Amino acid sequence: MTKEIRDLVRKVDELKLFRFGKDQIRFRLDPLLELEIIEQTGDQIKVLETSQFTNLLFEFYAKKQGFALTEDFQNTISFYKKVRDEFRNEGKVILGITEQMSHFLGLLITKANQEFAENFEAFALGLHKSDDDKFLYELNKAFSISLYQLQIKPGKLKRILIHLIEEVSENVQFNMNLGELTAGIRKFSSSNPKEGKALFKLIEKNPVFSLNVSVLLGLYEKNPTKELIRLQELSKRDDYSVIIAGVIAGATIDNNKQAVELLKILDGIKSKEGLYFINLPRVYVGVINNPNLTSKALKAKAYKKLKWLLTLDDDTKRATVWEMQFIKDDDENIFEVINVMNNEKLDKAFCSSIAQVLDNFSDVAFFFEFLKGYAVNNPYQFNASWFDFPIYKYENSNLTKFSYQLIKLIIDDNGAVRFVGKRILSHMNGNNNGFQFGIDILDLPQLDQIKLWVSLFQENPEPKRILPLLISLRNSKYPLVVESFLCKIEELVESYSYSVIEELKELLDLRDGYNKSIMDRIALKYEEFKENWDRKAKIKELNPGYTQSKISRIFNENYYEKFSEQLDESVHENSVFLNLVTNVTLAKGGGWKHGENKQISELSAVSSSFQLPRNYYISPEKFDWQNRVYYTENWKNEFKEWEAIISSSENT
Amino acid sequence: MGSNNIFIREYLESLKEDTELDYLFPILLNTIGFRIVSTAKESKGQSQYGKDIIAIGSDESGQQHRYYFELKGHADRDITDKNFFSRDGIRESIIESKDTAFSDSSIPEFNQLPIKVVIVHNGTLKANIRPTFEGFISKEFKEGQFERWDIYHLTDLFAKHLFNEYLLTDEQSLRLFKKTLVLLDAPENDFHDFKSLVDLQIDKISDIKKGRAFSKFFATQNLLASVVFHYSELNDNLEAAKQCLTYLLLKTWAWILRNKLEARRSVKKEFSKLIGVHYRMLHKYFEKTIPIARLENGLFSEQGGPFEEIGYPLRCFEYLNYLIYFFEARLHFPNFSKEPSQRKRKKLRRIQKDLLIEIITNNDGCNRPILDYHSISILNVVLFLLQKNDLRDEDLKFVGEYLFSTTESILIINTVRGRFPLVGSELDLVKKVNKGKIQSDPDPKNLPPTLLITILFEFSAILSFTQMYDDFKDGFKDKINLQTAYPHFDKYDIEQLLFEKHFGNEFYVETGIEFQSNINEFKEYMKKKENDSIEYRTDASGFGFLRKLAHVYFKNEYFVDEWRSMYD
Repeated sequence: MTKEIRDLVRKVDELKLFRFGKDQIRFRLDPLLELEIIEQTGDQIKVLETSQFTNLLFEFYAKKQGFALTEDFQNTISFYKKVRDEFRNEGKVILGITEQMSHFLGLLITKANQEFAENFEAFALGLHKSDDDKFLYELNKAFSISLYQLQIKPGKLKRILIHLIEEVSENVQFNMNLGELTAGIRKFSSSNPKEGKALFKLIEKNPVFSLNVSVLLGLYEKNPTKELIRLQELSKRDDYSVIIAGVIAGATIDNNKQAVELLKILDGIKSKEGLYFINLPRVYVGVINNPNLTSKALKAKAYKKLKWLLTLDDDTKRATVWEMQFIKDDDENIFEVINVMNNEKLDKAFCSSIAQVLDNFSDVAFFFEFLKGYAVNNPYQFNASWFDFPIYKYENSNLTKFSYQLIKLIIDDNGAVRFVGKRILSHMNGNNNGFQFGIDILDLPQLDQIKLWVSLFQENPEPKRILPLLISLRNSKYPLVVESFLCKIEELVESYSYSVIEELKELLDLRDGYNKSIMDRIALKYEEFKENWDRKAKIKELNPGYTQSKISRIFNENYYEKFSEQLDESVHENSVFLNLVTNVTLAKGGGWKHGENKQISELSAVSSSFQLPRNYYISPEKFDWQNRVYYTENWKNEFKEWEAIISSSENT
Repeated sequence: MGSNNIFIREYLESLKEDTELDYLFPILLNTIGFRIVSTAKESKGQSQYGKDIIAIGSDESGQQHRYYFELKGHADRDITDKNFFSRDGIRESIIESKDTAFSDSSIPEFNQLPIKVVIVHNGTLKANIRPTFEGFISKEFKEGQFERWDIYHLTDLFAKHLFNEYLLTDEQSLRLFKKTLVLLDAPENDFHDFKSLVDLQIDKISDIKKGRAFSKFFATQNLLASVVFHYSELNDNLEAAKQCLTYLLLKTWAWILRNKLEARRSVKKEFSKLIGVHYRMLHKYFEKTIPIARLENGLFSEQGGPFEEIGYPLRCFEYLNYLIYFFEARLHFPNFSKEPSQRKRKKLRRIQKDLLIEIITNNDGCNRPILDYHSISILNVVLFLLQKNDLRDEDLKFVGEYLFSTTESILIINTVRGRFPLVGSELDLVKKVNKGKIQSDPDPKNLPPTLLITILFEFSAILSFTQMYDDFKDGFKDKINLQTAYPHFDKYDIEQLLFEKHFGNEFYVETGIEFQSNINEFKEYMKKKENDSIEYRTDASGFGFLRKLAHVYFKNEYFVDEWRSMYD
C-alpha cells in the first residue's frame, strides 16, 4: 500500500499538482481510491488531505532536500517554505495546494512539538500580519489543524491563541482564518478536556469572545450535562452574556431536552448588549433546522423569537435576515417572520439579504405577498434587481404561477403595488429578454383584461415590450376588451409612430383576414399622423434647427453628459421613470424616431435612437409627473364606468 | 455685371406686379425725378386702362412728357406670343393705354404734354415675338411715343438711382447689405449685420425731418424691408424676415419718437408703408404656419429631440406673441393708423379669438412658461381675450382655465425639475436646465425672484378666481420672491426706449410681495400698489398696437398699467 502512496507522492512532485488527469497516472489507483487517499471525478484525480499521504510527502521532500527535524523550528519553517515554493507557479492556480500545504505544515508543527517539545510561543508571538500576512495565514491554518494533538502548557497556549486571534481578527481577509482557529480550539478543548478546563481557568476572568466561546463549546461537546451547569453559572455574569449566547448558538444540540435547557439559560440572561442579540438568530435558526429537535413548541418559540428579533436594531435585524436564508421548506413560518420587515419603512440595504430569504419559498405566492407588503410601506422605492434571485428562480420553476402572481401586482388597486409589478415586468423584459406571460391572459376576467392593458399602457409603453404581452387581447371573447385595446394601439401610434406598425408586423400573421384588418386600421391611423408630421417637417419656421439653432446646439452639446448622469441617478436613486427604460440605447443623444425609414430625426449633429414616447419630448416634466400620478391613483373606484358597461352588456 | 447688380436683378425678376413691383417702381420714379400723378394702388378696383402709374417726367433730351407706365410682373414678366395676344394681354393693354386719355386739370399744362407709353416688365422680350412686337409698336406709335423697360434696363435704373443713392453710398452700408443677404439663412444668424445696417441708416438721417433726405430715408427702410422679405421667401424661411423687419420697424418708430415726428401726417403715411411690409410678411408667415400650429402639438418639433423640453415652450410663447400682434395689426389693416369699424372689429375678433384658443389648447408648450419674461406672452393672451368690447363668456372661461393650467405647470416643473421660470435669457435657461435638478432647500433670504407669478396671482384676484388662489398659493409660498417691475417714467423717456432696447436700469422692482390669507385680502393688498402710467404718444398717433411688438421683441415686461387698472 505504501508503495502506491509513494508512487503518488512522486507523481505529485513530478507534476507539481494535487489534481490531475487519470491518463497521467501509470500505477494502480484502486488501493488509493479504496483508502480514500485520492478521489476520482470523471477523469480527474484529486489528492485528498490524509495523514498517510502527508507523512510520505514529508519523507519524500526531507530526503530530496536533505532535511532533518531538529530543535531549530525556524529551520523547519525554512524547509516548509522551500517545499511550498516548489509548488508555486506564478500566474497559475494550483488547486488543492492550500489545503495540502496546511496539512504538511501541521505535520511539521506536530512533529516539532512531539519530538522536540517545541511550544511555538516565541515563534508565534514573533509573527505579525504586517510582516508576512500570507505565511501568518498558512501557519494559523496549520496550527488549527494540529492544535488538538499538541502538548503546550496552558499559559503559553493562552498567549499564543490570544496573539493569533488578535492578528487574524482585524482583517476581513482573515475572518475565515479565525473560524478555522476557533474550530481548532474547540477540537482541542473537546479532545483534551483537562487541558481545556485549565486553559479556561486562565481566560475566565478576562474573556476573549472567540477564545472563550471555542473552549466552552469544546467542553460542552465533550460533556453536555456537566458543562450545562458551568454555562448556567456563567450566564449570571454580565461579562458572559454575549459569550453564552455565542456558545449556545454554536453548540451541537442532540435532543429537545438539551435545547430547552439551553434556551432557558438564554432567557435567563439579564444583561443584554447589542452583540448578545446578534448571536441569537443563529440560536433560533439552529433550533428550527436541527433535525434532532422534534418539539413543535420549541420550533414555534424559535420563530416567535425571530419575529421579535426583527423588531430590534438594524444590526440584529441584519443578523436575523442573514440567518433566515438557511431555513428551508417552511413557507408560512418564513413568510410570517420575514414579513415583519414590512411593518415599517425598509432600508433598501436590507433588500438583497431579504431576497435570499424570499428565495426559499416553495410557493411563489408568498414571495409576491411579501413584495405587496413592501410596496405599501415603501411606495415607489423598488428596484427589481435587488430581488433578481427569487424573480428568476420562480420564473424558471413555475412560469404559470409566477405570471399569475405578477399580473395580480400589475393590476392591483394600489398604485404603489402596481409600481412594483411594472418594475419587475420591465426588469424581466429588459435586455431584449422578450418575457412572455406563462398564462393565457384571455382566461382572466373581463375587467382584469382591461386593467391589464390600462396598466401596461401607462408610463412608457414601448410597443416592442408591451404589444407581445397584450396582443392576444385582440382575440378576447369580450368585444369591449377588443375594441378598447385596438383604440389604445391607435393612440400608441401618436407616441411611437412606425414602431407600432413594425411590432405588429412581427406579431401578426397577416395572411389571416382578421389580423390584416387590424393592421390596416392601425396603418391608416399612422398614415394620418405621418401626413401631418411630413407637412410640419417642411416648415423651416417651426424647426429649431433653423429658428433656435444656437441655443439648441448649446443645449445638445451638454445633453450627453446630463443624460448619462440622469441615467446613473435613475439606477442609484430609483427614479420614477428612467429605470423603467431598461434597454435604453444611447446611440447619439436624444430624438424621436418616426417614419418607415427607421431614420432618427436629426437636429444638427445630434440624434438618437432610443424608444421614448413622443409625449416625453413634448413635455418631459409633465410626462414624469403623470407617471407619478399613475401610481398614486387608487383603482378601487377608478373602473366604475367600465364595470357599469360590463354589467349592462351582461344583462342584455 | 457686378455682384450688386446680380442681387438687384434677381430681386427685380421675382417681383409681382400687383404688390411688389407696384410698390417699388414709384419709389424709383421719384428718385429719378418723375412727378407721380397716379399710382396703381390708387386705381385698384377700377379699370386701369393700361396705365398702372401716371407721371410727369423728362426724356433724355429734356422734353417733358405725360408718362403712362404699364407694369407687367410675375407670370407676365417675359413678353411671349402667348401673353401678347391673349385676352387682356399685353397687346390689348398697350392699345388701351394709348387710346384712353388721362386728364388732370389740376396740374398746369398736364393735359397738353405729349404722351409716352412705357411698358415695364421685369423680364425679357422673347425672340419668337420680337418681330411681331416691333411691327405692332411701329404701327401704333410714332417715334418717341413708346418705350420698353425690361429687366436689364430696370436693373441699371435701380442700381444707379435707388441702391447707389440710398444704400450703397458708403462702403460700410454696402458691406453690411451684402453680408445680410449672403448670411440671411445661415444657422445661428442673429442678424447683427442687418441691425447694424438699420442703425447706420438711422444714424445717417440723424435729426433731418423733411426734404429729400427724409424721403430717401423711408424709401431706404422700405427697400431694405422688401429685399429681406423677398430673400426670406426665396429661402422658404420667413424667420429672418420676422426678426429683421421687426427690428427695422421698431427702431424706425423709436427714431420718430425721438424726433417727435409721430404726429406728422407725412411721417405716419410713410411709416404705415413700413408697417404694411411687416404686416405682409407676418401674413405670409402665419398663412404658412397656422395650419400646422392648430394641430395637436403642432408647434412641437419632432426634429428637436430633447431640446424640445425648452424649445417647444419657447417657440410657443414667441408664436403667441407675434400672432397676437398680427391680430392687432390686422384690425388696422390696410391703413394702420385708423381705428377699425365696430363691425369689422367684432367679426375679426371672433375669428381671431377662436383661432388663438384653438392653438393654445392644442399646444401644451403654451402652458409651460419657463422664463419669467413669458409673462409678456401670457399677458398678451389674457389681455387680448379680456378686451371689454369683445369679451365673450367662453373667453372668460378659457382665460380662467389658461391661468390655472399655466400656474399648475409651473408647480409641476418645480416639483419634477426643481426650478421656477427663470429670470434671465434663453442661454441662462439652457445652462440651468443642463445642470439638472438641484436638490436643496430654498434659502429664505435668497428666494428666486418672479414677476410672472405675481401677475398670475394678480389675475386670480382681478377675476376673483378663488380656486386658483387657494389651490396654488401654498405651492409658492416661501419658495419664491413675488415682485413687480415699474418703469422709471420720471427718469427716462420710457416710451421711446421701449422701441429700441431691453430694459435694465429703466425698471425698478418692488420685492417681497406677500401672499395674503385669502384672495380678497390679496386683492385689497395689491390694489394699493403703484399703478403709474403715461399718455403714450404711440397710441395717440394711432399705432398703439405697435407697443405690443416692442414689448415682445425687446423682452421688456408689460408695465403694471396694463392690468392693475382692471381691479374693480
